[in-house]
Amino acid sequence: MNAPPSDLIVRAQEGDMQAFAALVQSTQTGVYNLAYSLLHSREEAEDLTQETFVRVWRALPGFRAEAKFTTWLYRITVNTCLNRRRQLSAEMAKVDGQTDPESVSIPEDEPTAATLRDERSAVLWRAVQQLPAKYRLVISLFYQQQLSYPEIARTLALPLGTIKAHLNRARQSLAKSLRGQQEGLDDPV
Amino acid sequence: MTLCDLTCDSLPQYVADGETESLAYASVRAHLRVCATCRAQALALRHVEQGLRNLPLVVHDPLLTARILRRVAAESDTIAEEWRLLPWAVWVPALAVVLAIVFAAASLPMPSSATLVQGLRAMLSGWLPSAPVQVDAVLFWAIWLAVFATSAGVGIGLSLSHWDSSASHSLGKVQSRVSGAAARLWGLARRTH
Repeated sequence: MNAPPSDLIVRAQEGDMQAFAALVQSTQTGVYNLAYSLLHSREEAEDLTQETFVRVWRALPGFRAEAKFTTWLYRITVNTCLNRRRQLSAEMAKVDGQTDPESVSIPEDEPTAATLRDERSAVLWRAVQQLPAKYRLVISLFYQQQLSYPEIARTLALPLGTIKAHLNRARQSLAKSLRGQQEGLDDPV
Repeated sequence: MTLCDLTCDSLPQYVADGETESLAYASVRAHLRVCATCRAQALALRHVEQGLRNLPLVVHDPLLTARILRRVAAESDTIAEEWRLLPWAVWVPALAVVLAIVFAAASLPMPSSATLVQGLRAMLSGWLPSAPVQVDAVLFWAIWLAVFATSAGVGIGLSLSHWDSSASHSLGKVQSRVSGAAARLWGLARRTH
């Protein structure tokens, strides 16, 4: 995703709603996908996207250009989503005693099924959804939002080594899943 | 740890970096030439990398933008609301508390005002021997009580108000209003001096 122009940000900081609307349009897909990668629900992702931009609107006067706008935006997105996950965990604990946030179910209807080119893509998509949240997050930031390693480290306030380790473990896990699926497909019935 | 284990640890990054010819990966390349297992793992990682680079984005509802802007507009109205005059349900009790503090302070048994003022004058003269300070007793108490009451009133008013101090948007407005007021006072002081 390209960074929005700085004059747009300045105008939005001064309260220009049209400039803010343009900012929203240029960044909402990234925010929505990040939220979806953590929450696995279209309704939750949409709700969190709205809440994120409300927080952005409130905090915009305090934004300084030392950080990239998208890094700052994604940091707000991640924090908002993690708070929501904690709430969901607490609600789940009250209902059925589960506290594991990873037990959020994988959606049956793949939103991107129509855009998945082949069976391998579909298998990879499902394998990504089954990764732990911390791996899904870095996968989304690196491959979908196309942030660099240092940008991801700044967004998540984690060391660079940790980001690389998460990504590499995610890649290994996915390779193992794909190989297992391929062997399953290759086995004669 | 075997050479395969070491290579496997480096393989994901090697593949993600495009299987470069750099010296950093010389040992990886050397091992891949002789180990079929690691070559198979590298192939799997290549497929993963290719798939991830084409990972599709989830498509959101086209009405999402409108919903976001509606919610932000509602939020703006809430922020504007915060800056209206404090409601009477806040002013009345705050004023009552301030008046109570003022009357309590005024009715406390105090040492003789004249003695206090003389002591203050002597203390100040000791610090500034070349500039003896003339302090009028009534003025002294008036200033002391006014500062005390104002501070108490502002503090109580803010703590009882609906103003959300954690909202940086509101904080930004406070900062601009305070700096604006300070600038106007400074300008007034310069004009009258």
